[in-house]
Order: sequence, then structure tokens, then C-alpha cells
Amino acid sequence: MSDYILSKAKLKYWLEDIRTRNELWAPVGSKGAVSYLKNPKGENVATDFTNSLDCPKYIFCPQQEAICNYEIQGRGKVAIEEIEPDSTPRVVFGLRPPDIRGLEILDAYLLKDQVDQRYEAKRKNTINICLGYHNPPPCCFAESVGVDLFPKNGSDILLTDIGRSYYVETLSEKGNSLISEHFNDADDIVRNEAWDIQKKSQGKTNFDLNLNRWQDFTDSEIYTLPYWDEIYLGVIADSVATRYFYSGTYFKIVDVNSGNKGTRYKTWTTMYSPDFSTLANGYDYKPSLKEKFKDWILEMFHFFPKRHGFLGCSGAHRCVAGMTTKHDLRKIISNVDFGL
Amino acid sequence: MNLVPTIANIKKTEREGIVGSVSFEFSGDLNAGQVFKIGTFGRGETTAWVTDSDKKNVTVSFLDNNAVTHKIMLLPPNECITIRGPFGNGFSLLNERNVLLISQDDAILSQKKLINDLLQNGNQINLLHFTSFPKDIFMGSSLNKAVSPDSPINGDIVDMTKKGPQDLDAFVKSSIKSEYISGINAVALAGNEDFQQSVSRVLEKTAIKDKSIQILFNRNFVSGMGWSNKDLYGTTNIWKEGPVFTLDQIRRFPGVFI
Repeated sequence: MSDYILSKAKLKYWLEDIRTRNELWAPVGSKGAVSYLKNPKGENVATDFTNSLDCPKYIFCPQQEAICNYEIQGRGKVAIEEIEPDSTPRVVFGLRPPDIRGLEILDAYLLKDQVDQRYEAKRKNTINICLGYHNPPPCCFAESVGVDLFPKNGSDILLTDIGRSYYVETLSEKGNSLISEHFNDADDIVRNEAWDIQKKSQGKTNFDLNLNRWQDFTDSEIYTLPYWDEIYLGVIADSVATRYFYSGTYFKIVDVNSGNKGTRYKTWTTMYSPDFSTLANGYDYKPSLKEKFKDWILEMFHFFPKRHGFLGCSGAHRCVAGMTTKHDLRKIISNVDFGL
Repeated sequence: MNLVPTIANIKKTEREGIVGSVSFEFSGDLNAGQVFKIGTFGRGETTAWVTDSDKKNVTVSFLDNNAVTHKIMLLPPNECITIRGPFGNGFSLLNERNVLLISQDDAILSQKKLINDLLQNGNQINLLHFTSFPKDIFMGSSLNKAVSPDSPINGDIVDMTKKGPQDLDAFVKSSIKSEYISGINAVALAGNEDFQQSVSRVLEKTAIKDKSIQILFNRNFVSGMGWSNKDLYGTTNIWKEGPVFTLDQIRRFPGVFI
């Protein structure tokens, strides 16, 4: 691992350099409405935002991803052209720490049991640049779910905003490959300044979720708590929600065709979709919003950690700030009534 | 997982009521309770249960109630369909001497191959099929033949419309008579989850061991990928470890199954 200093004035030139050799994804927009866009100009890239509107999972796992093209050539004859996984060299600049955790969550879903080759190819060929969280918003609860505001794992480069410059830490070989003439070696003064900022930021997003209480109860006891019968009231089946979360997603196959040609896509959509839990015979095994909402929460905070060893929530506060409901996930989790 | 489907040419399509079946070439061992994702380009995919197979061919069945299945049923022999799979573990009861099969409505699709396999293997079969549509029973001709007096199967078709105001538990309990349970070593159960719960409550009071009761967790397999939250039941991925589980395993699932 090496460390450098990058002047903010040079950032746009560095990003332009990256853009000439890679597909660059970077945050664009003003404070309240930032999204990651493909190949933006270096000067348009936003750095003073707290979080993007949607979680950037679509960079690695697009909502519609082509699997194959087909052409129906006649009776009994179909030509299939497989669309190879996208291995374009890609750099994602400005991922915030909760989204680094988000990628770990996606890895758990898509790379562990059944490997999604398309997602795997994108992950392997992407260099992630994390923008440390020196400015988390008040409702962020990243540290509560175990997210480091200046993560040394999960990204290839970590930037710490130290005023006029960024303190740059390369965390992998891939990260080292992006260092160019725009960078200067860091000295002890810069290092101390950056570490001081990193230290001061600690604890800013540490909201007590009382998760230690969950360990004393079995799966069934937690699943059948009367608390869940009440807490879902007021939740709106928000189909946009899937864009905010790394969990709560499900996948399906759809075809889009024109004439005798078409493309088969893998798509993801929300757990609130009408056919999410309906069988072919019409039976719905999660008939109410209560079950869907409860399953989503328990998946993130109980079952996902049991399977993978860390919480399935990124703590990015998109659910608190963006969902069209009055629910505050932090309070729902911290106030779970175990009937004690 | 490669999501690109393979192409199969239809050998035969058949329809009985709302149940459609399609046969195509496939070599490999298959179990009852396994599924294929079949489809047509331009419409998408649907789930189809393995209902028959030999060394070279397989027949899969499905409810003909969506755009994909409508299209498939219109296709003539030799026309192409897309296939992915097979998925799931399926039932494994061939080593059990006396087997009770319990199914509800379209869940018989997941057990049809099991009935044939058990008969060929010489197992003693008791069969109870619960139907909500007594005038249009799923796979009615096969079922009526299976429970006829000259069949080696000891079975009955239970009309669920006669349940009336009593709750499902009481109705199921009164329908599973002792003659179907006595001497049974193992059970295969398929149906909606509330039905499975009711049957399990009856079976847990018998001498049949939980480990010998195999239940098909009939959850919708939309993606055929196993990546979705919907494929999970607590820490169990239905489509990685199932969909057939023993009652013993299901008791460990969170919730109120039993």
C-alpha cells in the first residue's frame, strides 16, 4: 500500500486521464440529487455530496442485462448469439463507504452459491475509488451496521478530503495502476492531517441499533414476534424501493423482441411486485405487506448475517431519506419489542 | 451460472384440462419434484415439473395459464423451446417400502413421476389427492385410474369443496383415515403451504418419523437463479438445498409452519 496527495484542482485532469483509458462512472449532480453516470467530464464530477440518490448497484448489475440475442429462422430453427460478460476496464469514482459495503452484500448474493458470470466479470474488471465519509449526513447509520467510514477493504483507492487536497491511499495493485503524474508523495504532515480527520469522523454515524439483544432469541421466536404485526402499518408498497437497497431484490427473465429477432434479459425488480410471492396456481405465500416488510428487515439484520457473517444493510440511510414512508429503519430495529 | 438457455425441439404436446405437457429430448437422471425452466423466445420462461422421463426424453407439465404456456401449447412438434435446468433435488423415496403420497390440486404435477417410479420399483403406495375442483381435477384421468379398485394403489380423491365451515386442520384430519397411515414408512407431501401445515399436524401425531416425511416447498421459482430474497427461507436457500425437505428440516425454518 502506498499513499499520495492529489490536489483538488488536478482531480478533473486525473479523471479525464482515466476516462481516456477506461469506462468511467462518477457521481454527477448537485448535493441532493447525485447519480453515478457513465463517462462524465471530469469537471462535472461531484465530490461534495453525502450520498447518491440510487444505490450504484446498477453499475455492476444493471436492471436490464442482456443474456443473448436470438433470431427465429423458421420452424424448428432458432439462432442464439450469447452476449459475453462485459469485461470493459471500468473505474468507479466516488463510491461512498456504505456503497462499498453494498458491493460486499451483492457479492454475497451473486458470487457465493450461484455465480452470476456477468456480475463477476464486471467486478473483476472494475477499479473502485472510495471517497471517505468525512461528511456523513445526520440520518446515516453506517457505523451501526459495521461500516468503516474510511474503509481499507473493499475498494482499490481510498480518498480522504483534507481541504484543498485529497490524501490518497492505494489499497490494491489495481489501485496502484491508476496513480499518475498528477499525484505527489504524501509526507508525515499530510498523513497526520488525514488520519486526524479520519479519527474525528469516527462515531458520527454510530446509532445504537440494540442488535446484541437479537442473539438471545431463536429464528422462530424472532420471526413470530407480535411486534412485526404492528410495525408494518403505514408502509407503502414502494416499487421504487428496490433502487435504494442492495437486498430486497429479485430477478427474472424477460424477452424483448421485434419481428423474428429479439434479446433475452436478466432483470431485477422489487419485492413489492405483485408476482413476487405468487405461485403459478395463484397461491400467495406472502400475501400481505406485513410479511414482505418483515422478511426484508429480518433478511438484512438476522438471516443474512447468519449466512455471511455481516449485516445485509449498508447503513446508507436511503431508506430513511428516500422511501415514501414515515418509517425510520433505525428506530424499527432499535425498538424491536421482544416482550421482555 | 450461465443464463443462456439451450434449445430443445418439441416431441409432443398434450393437454388435459388446464394442465399442459411437453416432451423433448433430454438425457440424464431426473427425480419427481425437479423443475425445468421452459420458454419460448419472445414470451419468456415458466416453471414446469418433471412428470415423466426415460433415458432419452423427458415430459414436463405446467398450468397453462400464462402467455408463455399459451404459446408453448400452440407450438407444433419439432418447433423450438428454450430450456434451463433441471433444478432442485426432488423426492427420494424409492428405498421406502410403504409410501403415502399426499397432494393438493396442481401439486400432483410434482408427484406424477414419483407414482410411476414407485410402481415400477414395486413399492406399496397409498395416495390421497385433495382437490378444490372436483369437476375438473388436475390430471383427472391419471388420478381416477390410480385410485380405481383394480389399481395396485390404495387411494382416494378428497373433495375439498365439502370442507364447509370447518377449518382446514379438522377437515384434513378427518380425511386422512387410519387405513392410509398404518404401516407407512415414508410420506411425500405437496401442496400449498397452509395445506402442508395442516397435513403435517396430522402426521406428527402418528408413528411416522419426521425424517421420513418429505415435503415439497412449492415456492415460485421465477428466476431460476437462486439469487433472490424470495428463494430464501431464513438461512435456507430453497433452490440450492431444496425444494424437497424433510419435516425435520422444515421444523428448523423460522416461522409458524408447524
